[in-house]
Amino acid sequence: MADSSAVEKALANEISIILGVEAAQLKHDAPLHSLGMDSMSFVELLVFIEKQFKLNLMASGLNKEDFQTIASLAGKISRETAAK
Amino acid sequence: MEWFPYSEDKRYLSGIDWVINALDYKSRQDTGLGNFSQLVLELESKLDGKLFCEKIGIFLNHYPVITGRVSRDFNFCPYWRVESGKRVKFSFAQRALNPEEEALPLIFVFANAGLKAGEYLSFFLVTGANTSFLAVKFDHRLFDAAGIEAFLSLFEEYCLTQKATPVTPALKPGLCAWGKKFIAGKMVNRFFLKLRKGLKPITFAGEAAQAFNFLPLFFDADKSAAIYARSLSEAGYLMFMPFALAKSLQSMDKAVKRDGDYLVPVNVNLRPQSSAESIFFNHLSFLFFRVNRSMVNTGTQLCRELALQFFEQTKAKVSDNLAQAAGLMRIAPLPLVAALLDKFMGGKSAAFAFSYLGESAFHKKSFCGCSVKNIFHLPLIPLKPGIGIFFTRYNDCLNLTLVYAKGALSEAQAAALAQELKNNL
Repeated sequence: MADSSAVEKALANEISIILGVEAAQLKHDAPLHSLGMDSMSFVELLVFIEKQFKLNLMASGLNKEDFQTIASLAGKISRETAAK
Repeated sequence: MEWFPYSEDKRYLSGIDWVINALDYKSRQDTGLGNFSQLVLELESKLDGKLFCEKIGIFLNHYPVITGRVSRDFNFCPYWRVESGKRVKFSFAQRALNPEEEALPLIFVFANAGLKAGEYLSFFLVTGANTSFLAVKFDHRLFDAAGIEAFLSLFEEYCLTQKATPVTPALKPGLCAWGKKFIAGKMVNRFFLKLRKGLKPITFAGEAAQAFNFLPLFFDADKSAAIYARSLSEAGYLMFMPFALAKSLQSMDKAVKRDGDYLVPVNVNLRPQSSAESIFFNHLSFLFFRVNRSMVNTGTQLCRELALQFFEQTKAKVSDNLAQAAGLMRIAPLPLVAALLDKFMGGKSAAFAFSYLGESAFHKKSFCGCSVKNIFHLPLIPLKPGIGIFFTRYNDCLNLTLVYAKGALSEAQAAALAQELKNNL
């Protein structure tokens, strides 16, 4: 299983690049849309996840509980990689 | 490292800026109007027109970029030549509503009038007893939709603090990384070849039209929340764009019978996040969605199909490649670029243009001392496709504008389409 905190760090780093903000400014428990993410930036993040973690999350239904925050998304990635 | 002659009076145009200039050229050829749009602020009290006109006049002169024009550098790179020292020209008109008179029809007339030569902004204020509508006409060569919203936000800050935020819209000529640009061009070419294969041409009754009709739809906070909840269950988290596009396609299919596949270009905002440096000029690109007609009425499956195309195009860097490849076209004069844009589509056209801007970049709740009730856009669109569906959001309320060139849709078709959009969302 991928270390959830390492995944969180990688996600925060990528989101900071996509949004053009400092990674340290990003709250890991805040909804992604409140950080300024929209459909375009979210899909960019999903592309990053596929490249980095070899997971295609587009097929998983993108439910709010799993995708809404950096922390919940990191948890989802950790679980999916462990199940592979 | 790239060397470029820095000058505050010179801002090099990006490839996308040059495409927007080509669309302006084409719009002038087709309709006599340029490539411009309107942002409308609905205010909850009467705005003092004289005071606004004075303040905006002073404010605009802090941004000499609004005086510029397109020029070519010694290296053939097109740039925006800022005419520092010149006063910014703009128009302002005001009209008081008669009892029983509505503001929007007056604004639609304003939206169909061109900008005067040398002007990039024009304002039209309609006032009622306790309400005002301020329509801001802006030239797309200088502002995109999110840019003008952010610019009005700066103006509101200026009204409150009397300090104008300095903006230096610098851009290097980008005459480097040719290999990367050519590879992007090759990818774009392949993408368009695949995209247009087997696509049936659409006949446009509106080709000679020189006027546009607007049908704005407004949704209150409760209805907007219900629409977002529906998009969440049907398309997934942060998938409002594919959801709104799916609903638009389904509505179009029901209201306007058409044969063959649907092709829809979608504007995407390439700004990392709104910043003062990206207020001026264009920071956007495009994605293209193609949907088989048999797929349109498959309900949530259509949302999934569009989300998948969105993902695949993002993965293939379609919008980035378009922006890169457009850099190669800057050498070409505007008539040639306009012809090339047609050639990419093989003379065929999209079914309609679509965009979802997301939450407004005008983050204020008031404007010149008046509470802002709503903000929406009334864009003009190129005659091919001649029909546009545009979603925006302000203060958690969703707005939708259906725009069509007169003749591209009949009034009955447009009314049916608006009704379908209302029903489907």
